Amino acid sequence: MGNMVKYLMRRLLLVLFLLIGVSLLVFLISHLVPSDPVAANMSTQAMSDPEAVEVYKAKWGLDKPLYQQYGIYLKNLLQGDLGTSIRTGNPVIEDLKQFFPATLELSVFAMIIAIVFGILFGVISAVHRDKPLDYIFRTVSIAGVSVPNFWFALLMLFLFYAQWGIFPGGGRVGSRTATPSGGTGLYILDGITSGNWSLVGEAFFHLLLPALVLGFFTMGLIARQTRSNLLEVTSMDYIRTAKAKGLPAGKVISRHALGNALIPVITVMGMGFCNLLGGMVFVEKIFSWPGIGQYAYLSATTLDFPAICGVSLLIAVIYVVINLIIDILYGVIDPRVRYN
Amino acid sequence: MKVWKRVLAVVFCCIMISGVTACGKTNSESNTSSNDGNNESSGGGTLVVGMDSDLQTLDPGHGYEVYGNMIFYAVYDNLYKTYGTSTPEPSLAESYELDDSQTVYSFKLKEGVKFSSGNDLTSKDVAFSIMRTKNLKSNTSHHAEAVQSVETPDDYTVVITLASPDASFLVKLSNNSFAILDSEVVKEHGGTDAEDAATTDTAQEWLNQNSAGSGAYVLDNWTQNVKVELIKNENYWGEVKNEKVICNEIPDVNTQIQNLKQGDIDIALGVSMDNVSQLEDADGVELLYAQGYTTTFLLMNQDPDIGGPLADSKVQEAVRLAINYQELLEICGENATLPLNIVPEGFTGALQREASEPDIEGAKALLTEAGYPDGFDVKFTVASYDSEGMSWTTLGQKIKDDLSKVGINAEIETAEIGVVIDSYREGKEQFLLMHWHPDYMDINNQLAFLPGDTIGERANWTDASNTELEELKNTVSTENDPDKRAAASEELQKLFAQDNPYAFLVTHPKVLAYGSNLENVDYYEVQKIDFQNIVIN
Repeated sequence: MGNMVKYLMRRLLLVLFLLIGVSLLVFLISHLVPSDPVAANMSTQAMSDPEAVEVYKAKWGLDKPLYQQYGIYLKNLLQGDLGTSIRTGNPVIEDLKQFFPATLELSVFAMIIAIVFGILFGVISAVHRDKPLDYIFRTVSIAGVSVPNFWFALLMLFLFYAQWGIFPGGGRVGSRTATPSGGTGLYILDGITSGNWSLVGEAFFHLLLPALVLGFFTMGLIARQTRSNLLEVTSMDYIRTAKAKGLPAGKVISRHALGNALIPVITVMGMGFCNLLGGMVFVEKIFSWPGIGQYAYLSATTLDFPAICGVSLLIAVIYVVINLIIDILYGVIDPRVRYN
Repeated sequence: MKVWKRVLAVVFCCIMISGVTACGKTNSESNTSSNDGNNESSGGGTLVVGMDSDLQTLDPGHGYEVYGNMIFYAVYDNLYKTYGTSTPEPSLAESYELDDSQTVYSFKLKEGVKFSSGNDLTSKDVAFSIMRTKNLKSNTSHHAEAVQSVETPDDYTVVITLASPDASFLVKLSNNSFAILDSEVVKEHGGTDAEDAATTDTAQEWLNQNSAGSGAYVLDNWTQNVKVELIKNENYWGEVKNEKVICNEIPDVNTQIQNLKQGDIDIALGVSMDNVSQLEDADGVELLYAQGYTTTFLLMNQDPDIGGPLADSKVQEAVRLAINYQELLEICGENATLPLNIVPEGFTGALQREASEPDIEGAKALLTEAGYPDGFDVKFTVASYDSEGMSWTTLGQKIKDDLSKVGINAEIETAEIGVVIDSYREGKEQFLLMHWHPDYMDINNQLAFLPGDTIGERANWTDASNTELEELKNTVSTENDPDKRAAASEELQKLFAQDNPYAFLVTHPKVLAYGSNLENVDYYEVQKIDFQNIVIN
């Protein structure tokens, strides 16, 4: 346990340096783009007024040298201030608080779908190796990793919304429903805690289709990994012994094979979650989902430096935390792994 | 373990049942909205609009985004308005008088107008609003640049003095930068019209979530990138047909189209010529092809070091002659128009170009005269962008094809719009496809193309030796007699056509798609949709 604490401390210290590195990198890259945030945010005619341009530059600190801008940014960052978004005019931290819950809700549901169906499809494929069921689920999982998510999103929206009217067409709630205010911003959780079951239902049904699209790639990844690991494990001696002892096939798989087969899948889950964040921009745009993906896209196109840095830091933190959790999980699940 | 599983199953069932109920409710709501004639079922007079907006603020003193005008028009009133016309009509002003110097405007205000707060709208609010915009030194402040002072002799008289005559002043007054705010309320929330307002005014944050106007609607809630919700202003001085307006942010146009078909929204603002075919035969959907004002043009740099062969006026004319305007019109769709040059159709005195075939021989002869009998190679910058849905890449390709017929090999270089705008602004582009969208519906807004003005400088066209052009420019920008001004405008366009470093291509049309259960839907380029007059059946 002592080793584990030391390991955690070391990792957290590294995270700090990593974040400073990320902030510097993002800051430099976003400022080295051969474009001008003044031109991106001010109108052509407003720019003909030098006084207005000067006021604008002074307001957003764009009149200072780059190193000074970064110095100010880092100083504020250490105080928990990510700056003010040029595009929205709000503190970036407030914007992230507003948009992140939508992304979190969507990505968690997408991940649940990916894990549940990924493992299920992988197990079925492995158990029915080279039989029709295996071919069907392998096709689904290959489609998951190879179909571009923006195309899949449009297809799903066309079929399940426009053609059949089974699911709603975009947004977190109906187009005529007022935006729920207060709470955590996680509509399902807010609905449950406030007993607003109609909100829970509406939010849940609006969530299903985008979550399915977003989780499709990771589902394919998990299914393929689960299948190959399970096939490898089931060829081992201890499984043969279990079978020889007369255990039913179902118990052999669920109690003896699956646990070991899933260890490498955990790594894939981490990768899948990070990949899922990458696919967020397209899915959020197509499903009118007001999350971090859309916020990042709009910030990038308007050269909103503080917002770009804020989103990048947030994503970096998520990557680091996910990888940390996975490393810890390894130690918990597999006693052979020790953190010395 | 079993108990835990049962609890989970019950929770899941509850969510599914309530979800099915909610989903069913959403669908039934939307179906009735688009198909039957029951006003109640279409959201109780709730108009739902889908848009991909660029809204950054809802403070009219700062707002400069395309869709901001639509919200400001619904929430605030101005002294004059120009919805559907380039001729200003009185709104909060009843009448005005202009003195002999053409610089002092005396406006008589309507009496009995109240803000949504219940406060009376008086001259002090007008003075505060105009001076606040001027002193904020923000995106819209240049509209108020010419305002020298605003005086309020009594509660219903406003005297505005300009530094110099400005024939477009009444049109400018209809812009959101001159929206009239409730000075008492705005001051309460940190607003000021003092000279140092650029650094001391703190009302923007409050105005992003609330409104302080006398318009038909009140801002109820704005969640950026999600939706703007407006509710009827109970103190409004005119008639309002709908109780509520919801403008949903739907960034993907295909989603907007599907939402409209399903009746989840009543109006789709993002439809363009590229995707209108998806709606042409759709049941319950109407299409409105409206006059647009965004004009695409080619810029040819006048500086020989940058423009090369294109700096030669003969080559510039050859480029104009080589373009197949007839085919350009076909590409850009119904209601596209061909401006002769700087003034698009819909503006007073606008002249149009004939949809002619290219004059290949004429163009080749000019190129030979200029010393390029075999043509030349040139870099042609085309940003990844579009005008009202018309891809610049498609337009650029068409221009390249046309020019190749006279021996000009235009090598297209694509770049992000942000990058192109930068070098365009600095006057470094040799040959560029660009567009111009007017801020207000007056020819003065288009004079930026003349030598020494904003766009002129970007083409390095700084030669102001054409005194006739200068005189016409002065007449157009200052003459208040409409007939004299229109005549000067026509003369200016004809003279401009003889020698300039541009080739004006097309004024692009706008397509609006809406549910056939709506009546009185109209579209105007600046303020977009007038919510208060739309009837939901």
